[in-house]
Amino acid sequence: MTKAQKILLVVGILGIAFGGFVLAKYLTRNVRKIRGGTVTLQTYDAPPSEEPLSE
Amino acid sequence: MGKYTTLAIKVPDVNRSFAQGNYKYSSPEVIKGNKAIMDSVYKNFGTFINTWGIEFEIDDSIIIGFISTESGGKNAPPNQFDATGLMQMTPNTVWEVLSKWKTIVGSPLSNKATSFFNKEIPSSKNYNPNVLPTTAVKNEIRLALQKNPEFNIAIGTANLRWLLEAFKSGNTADINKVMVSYNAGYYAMRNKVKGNITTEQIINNKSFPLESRGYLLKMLGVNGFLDLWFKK
Repeated sequence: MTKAQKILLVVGILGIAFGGFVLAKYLTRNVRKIRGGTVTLQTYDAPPSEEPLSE
Repeated sequence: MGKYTTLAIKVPDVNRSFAQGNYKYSSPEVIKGNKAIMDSVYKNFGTFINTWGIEFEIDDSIIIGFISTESGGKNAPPNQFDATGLMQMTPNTVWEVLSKWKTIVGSPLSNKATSFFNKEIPSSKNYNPNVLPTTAVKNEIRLALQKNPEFNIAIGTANLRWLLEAFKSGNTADINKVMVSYNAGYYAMRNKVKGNITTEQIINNKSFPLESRGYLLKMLGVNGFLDLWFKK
C-alpha cells in the first residue's frame, strides 16, 4: 500500500466516524438524558386543544 | 447503569393543554405563574430534591413537577384526604411505601434512606406489611410530613420510585401510570392501567377520575409543568 493510499484510508475512516457521529446526533436531537432515563421533547404541527375535560 | 428501572418520557405527551373554565395553562399569565412556582420550589427545596433524586434515581425536573402540581410549593396542612405538605403524601401511603418497599421494588432501601426514615419516624423500624398502621403510627407520620419538608420530599420521591417499579414493563417504566396512581391511589388504579395505555387514552377515558386526567395534563400536556421546565 502506497503512502497516498494509507492517507486516503485514514481520511476515509475518520470521515465515516465523523459522519456517524453527526447522524447519531441528528437522530437523537430531541432526546435529552436526565437522571434515571431520557426525555424526548416533542413538537406538534397543530395548535394544542384547550377543551376542558368533562366527567 | 443504575439499580432501578429506566424512565423514558415524552414531553409534551399529548397535544392538549389543561383548561378549566377561563383558567388555561396556555395563557401567558398562567405560564408565568407556573414558571415562578417551579423556580420557587427549586430555590427553596433544590438541595433536598437533588439529594433524594440522586438516592432514588429520579430527575429533579420530575420531582419539581410533582411538587408544583401537588401543592404549588406550599407546605400545606393535611386536607380532607389526609394529604400533607409539599408532595401531598398521606400517612397510609408512607406506611405502604416503607412496609412494602422490598416486595414492590425488589431490593432493600439503602442504609442512608433507612436511617433517615427511622430517624424521622421511629416507628418505621417495626412496620409490618400484614398489620395496618395504628392511629399513633399515622399521627407520627402526619406530624413528620407537616413539620419536615425534607422528609416530605424524601418519602414523596421514594413513592415515585416505588410506583415506577410497580408499573415497569420490561426495562422501562411508564410515567403516565405513575402520575395517575400518585393522584388516585395505587390500589384504585393498578388494574385500570394494565398493559399498554397512552396518556391520550387515559385523558379521554372517562372511567378515570376527572382530577387524575387533569393531573396528567398539568404535568404532561402542552405548557404543563414538565413542558415548561424542558422548554427553558
